[in-house]
Amino acid sequence: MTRALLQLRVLARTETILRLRKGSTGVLFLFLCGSAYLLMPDSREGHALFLIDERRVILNSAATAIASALMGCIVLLLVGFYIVSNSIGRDARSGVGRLIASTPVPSVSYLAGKFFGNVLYLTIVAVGFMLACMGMHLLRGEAPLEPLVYVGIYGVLFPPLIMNIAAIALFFETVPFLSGRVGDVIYFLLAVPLFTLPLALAHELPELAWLRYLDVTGSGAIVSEISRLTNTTHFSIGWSPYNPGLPPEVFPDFTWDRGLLVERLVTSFVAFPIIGLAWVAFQRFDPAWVQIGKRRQAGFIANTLRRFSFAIRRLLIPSVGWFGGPPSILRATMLDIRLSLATMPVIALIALVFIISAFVAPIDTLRSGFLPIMFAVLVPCLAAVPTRDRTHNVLGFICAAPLLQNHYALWKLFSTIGLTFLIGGAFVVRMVFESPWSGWALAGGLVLIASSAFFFGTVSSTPKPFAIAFLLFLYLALNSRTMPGFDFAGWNQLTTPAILSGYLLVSVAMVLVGFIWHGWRTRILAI
Amino acid sequence: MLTLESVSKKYRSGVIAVDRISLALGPGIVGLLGPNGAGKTTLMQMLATISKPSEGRILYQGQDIRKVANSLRARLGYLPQDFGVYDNLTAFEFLAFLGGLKGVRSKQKIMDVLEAVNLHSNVRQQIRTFSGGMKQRLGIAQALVNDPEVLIVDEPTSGLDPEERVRFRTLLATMGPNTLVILSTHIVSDIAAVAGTIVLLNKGTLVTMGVPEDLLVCAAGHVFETMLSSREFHTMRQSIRISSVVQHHDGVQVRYVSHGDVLPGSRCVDPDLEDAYLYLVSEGKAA
Repeated sequence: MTRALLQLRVLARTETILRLRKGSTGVLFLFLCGSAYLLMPDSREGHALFLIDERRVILNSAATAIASALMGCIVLLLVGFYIVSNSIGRDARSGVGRLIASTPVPSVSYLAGKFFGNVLYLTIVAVGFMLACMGMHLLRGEAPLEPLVYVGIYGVLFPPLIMNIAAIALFFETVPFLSGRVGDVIYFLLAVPLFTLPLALAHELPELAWLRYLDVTGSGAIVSEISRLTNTTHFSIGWSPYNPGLPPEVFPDFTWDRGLLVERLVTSFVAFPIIGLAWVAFQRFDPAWVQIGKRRQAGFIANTLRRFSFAIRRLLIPSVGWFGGPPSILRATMLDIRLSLATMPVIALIALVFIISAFVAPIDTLRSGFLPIMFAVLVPCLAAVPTRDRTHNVLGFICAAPLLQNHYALWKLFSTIGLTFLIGGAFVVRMVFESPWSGWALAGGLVLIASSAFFFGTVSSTPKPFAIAFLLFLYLALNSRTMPGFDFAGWNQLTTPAILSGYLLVSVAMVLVGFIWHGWRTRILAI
Repeated sequence: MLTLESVSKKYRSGVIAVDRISLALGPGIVGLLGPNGAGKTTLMQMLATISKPSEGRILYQGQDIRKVANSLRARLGYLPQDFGVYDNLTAFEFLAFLGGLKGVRSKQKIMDVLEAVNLHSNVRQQIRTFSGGMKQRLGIAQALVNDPEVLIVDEPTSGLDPEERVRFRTLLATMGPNTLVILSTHIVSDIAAVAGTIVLLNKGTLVTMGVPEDLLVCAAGHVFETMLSSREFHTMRQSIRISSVVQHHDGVQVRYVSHGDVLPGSRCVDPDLEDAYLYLVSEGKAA
């Protein structure tokens, strides 16, 4: 084995081991099993995974494989980036990066190793999901399980998606501006629509047909294959009610069109130019890199933001005196919120913009535009609050302060809620003026996001799980505007008292689990 | 082996961390001394190819290291001051990982290095369970795993107990005759025990370079000892450069370095390396 191959193997293998040994991998596989269970409903209960012309499709291997693979691709598109976008960042933060930088591994090999590590882990996730779906097939299938049919469909649909997500995660990590929580939100806000846009354009404008090669989820390929095999365009995939009066449809044996196979192959290769961009941006853990990286973006906006951050920090200096006096959780909470503003001054700018918008923007624009954006923006603002003390290794200092050792979890919960309402409170006030019920619903939504940040941050000690879980939930909510159950913040005006109570119950449950987990970790693990 | 030609490192913020340093380093142990912010870590990062000089060049075997970076890295062992580990790997897995990146394939070599740093009984233990000293020794082990020709270690003995410090010094002293070891530490006694050459930096510039005896000669006649009352000591402590203080029942025995003024009742004593270091650094400040 040549040295380059050895380096690649060592990097990819270690990356995979590190991820497989994390507790979150176990949670992820439980999530995969749960998803497979929810994906394939019991047809006797009036719902089906796959409908053609309102008729339920019999759950044979081809139908279940194609439907589950497509749903799996969409979910992986949403969460896969967050699952693997921490490999270079981990090396940089832990300091292992400096050790690696002094080894003879070339930057391109390092990035290739990280890429293959990402690909390997996402492949394991995809295979895990496929096995979970095969397990569900054994439970709810209506025809014998044919593993090779699954492998054939998953094997064509997933690789281009996995390769592209792995490459994009790598690219985001090599660009300082995109490597943090801001990158997480940018991926969610921009990259996801960008993946669906090429397909829509290719469909609408024949001269842009080449854009179908950028269809990483394979939804275009699946749609055209199903249309070809069933001679209809009226079908739906995903948990939907069916007409029991119509006879079920048998989905034919599935074979890929050769042209589509080539299309999928070409889509896989899109990953390589992205890796090339990552290589250009990667600075091999040079300590001066971050500073230079920041300077390079020093355009008007960056300079304005820097000046604003500086001004906010200056303004916060006198506020130190405001929190003097006997120790109390309230004071400590105010100090923690102040710390959030000092470490991320852009939060103050965001809050300011939202406060002005709340009283200036038309109510419909607020509901349909500002509120979804606010919830997306809240994710990076809140994600660090419950986790930063551990990630920056200052928990020891904090627990030596009065009250905080015994009330640490409560303090973090109050800080998270306080920061949430600092950013979104003005919208609640405006909504209350418009319609009190909308205000209550929005307040409930803010409590939900704050308690989610507290729960995921406390349990995992890292900001990623919260970002993944809440952004995925937000995606579902934004794509289910007619379903009252997803109107968690009342922006579609579908929230009922029962729905609000349900979300509040979920919030309380998350807070309680967070407290129990923190107590358990403090007592048993003594950390 | 390594030659620095007017090497500077200037950050975009305007801070000059290293200012036109020229040195020629051959096999042996080189001790890098200097106060905080002297530029030691920046210099070591440039030598370890982590960071690039803003001006000047560094030559390895006569060739610019920017052109032969990977060739140098293959023969390099580097222990930064603040390094990290993958907590959920075992010591063996961690060394196999970094060893693999350096081209080391032999499991026995990894075991030998772990034994050299006294971690052989913790081979299968996850690093998360290690004490700070054990992690430091693991860091030393990764620097040694490829039998480096150039070993750069920044504060390697911080967090080590006295026994492990002695073990590490012995390890350095027994490295091959063709190995260049660059050792940076604030523990002057560590350098005094092993370094054949000392490089003294201050404010990014080279103050002096030479064998320890040269430094002692520089400080000769500038180190004094005296007995002061507690009150005198508290009055004078800001005006003298104290090397050591011993509290006695009848007063305070003070050892200090001076560029001119001498306290009444002082007697001149032979300098040790710590005195020489203080003298040369304060001389730079005085200048």
